[in-house]
Amino acid sequence: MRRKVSASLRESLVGEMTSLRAFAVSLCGDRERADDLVQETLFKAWNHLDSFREGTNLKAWLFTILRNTYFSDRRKRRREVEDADGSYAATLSTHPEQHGHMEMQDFRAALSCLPDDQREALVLVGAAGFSYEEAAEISGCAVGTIKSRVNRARNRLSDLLGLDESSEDAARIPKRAPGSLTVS
Amino acid sequence: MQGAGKKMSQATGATMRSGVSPATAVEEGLSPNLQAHIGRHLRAAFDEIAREPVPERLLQLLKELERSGDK
Repeated sequence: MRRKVSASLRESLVGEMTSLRAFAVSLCGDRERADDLVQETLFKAWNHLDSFREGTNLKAWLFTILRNTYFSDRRKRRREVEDADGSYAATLSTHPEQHGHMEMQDFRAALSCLPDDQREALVLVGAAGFSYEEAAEISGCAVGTIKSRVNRARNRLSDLLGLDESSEDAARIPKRAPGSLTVS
Repeated sequence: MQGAGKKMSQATGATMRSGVSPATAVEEGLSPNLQAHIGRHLRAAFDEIAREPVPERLLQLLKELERSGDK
């Protein structure tokens, strides 16, 4: 608004949209809501571009806006609807495009079982390519907190998926029946 | 948008409220094999969404924002 945005900044904004969207989906589990989140993020980012210094970490800045938007929406929703937690899992089975093989389905279902803060930390560090320090900055907490969330998230996933410590091959074969974790 | 200070205190509060017991052995982490296994799946799930084309309505929003900036 009221401000010319340099072509390179605009290009960077567009460039970050795909990973921003993937992050949003991993937070809320729903493409439609994720797109709303990205839309709101873009809007806020655009209107606060003066608080962003070009040359610093645009991706981290956008991710911060998005997760703050998500968590503050979530708090509002919680006040309105008691069952805020059921909504994530309920949306999981409604995406026919998210087929993949059984193993990936189980993995997604297990990921959705994690507490929000653990899932966020794991995705930031394990998939979105942020360092522990950057993830801490984005989530507004200490680096140690991020490390502990990531560890807890991994342990929880391992339990949920029945992964075996003994070998990578064993880890490929879940102990429980494939698909048993998929939310119906 | 929330200020950094506000954001930080909220996040800390949430951590304390969640009441997760102080982890001991849990903090040790999994074996490198299992970490790698989880990492691969995590990236696959993330990349699958990241590879999707940006929805038209988001590109449209960018165009509109730019137009509003030109005025």
